[in-house]
Amino acid sequence: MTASDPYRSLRPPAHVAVALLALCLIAGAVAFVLEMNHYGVLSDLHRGVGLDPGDLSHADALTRSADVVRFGAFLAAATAFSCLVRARIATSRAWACRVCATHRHGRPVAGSSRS
Amino acid sequence: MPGLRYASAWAAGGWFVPLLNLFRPKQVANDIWRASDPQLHSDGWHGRDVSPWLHWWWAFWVAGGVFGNQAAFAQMQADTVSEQFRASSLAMVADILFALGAAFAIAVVSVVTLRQEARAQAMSNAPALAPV
Repeated sequence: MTASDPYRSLRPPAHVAVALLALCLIAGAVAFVLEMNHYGVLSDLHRGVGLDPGDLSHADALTRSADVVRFGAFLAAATAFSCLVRARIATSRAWACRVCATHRHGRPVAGSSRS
Repeated sequence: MPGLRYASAWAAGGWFVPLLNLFRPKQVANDIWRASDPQLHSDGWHGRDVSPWLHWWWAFWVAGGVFGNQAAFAQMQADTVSEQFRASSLAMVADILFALGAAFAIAVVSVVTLRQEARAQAMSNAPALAPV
């Protein structure tokens, strides 16, 4: 974007949001794999295979790990969605005024002859 | 852009109000999409179609939330192995839905940003209007 565009800083930081959402996607996949393993351990227990306390704690650890990963994904998604706020502000302020050289962030630039 | 339905505060606040968080963020996103059209002037954008990317993103997000809540509830109530099976299955479905939602969110953010860049470029190239 050119220097004549003073609203550059208002538009969404797409690369940050995309990176966070990519983390969210990966976290979703990891949580799915952990949950699948949990399901597998439960299946073994159900069939009477490996019925010992170690397997039960392993299943418990898997589902807790999946929960932690999900919480991380939630935080990443929440941060990424702050992008929506910036997009909304950019939409309303930057384009309400087409005199881009005289306004910045929706306010008149100091020293500008036009308000 | 005049005529946006919701204030900027709704872009954040819409996520936290129960029931409203099922549709308000999507409505804000719809407005952003429509008003970011690089081909449009300030009027006539309200009735424009919204990209299916937004619909899919929101559908997966809400569905993931519904299944996630069901999974958490089922997990808390699970006393038998078969109940744990059910909770685990729901959690796996929720994980898939959230991951798909994240993939569509990446597309939405990327495309909205491109549209805003293009619109800003078009605005800065357009002749200045009378002072406001």
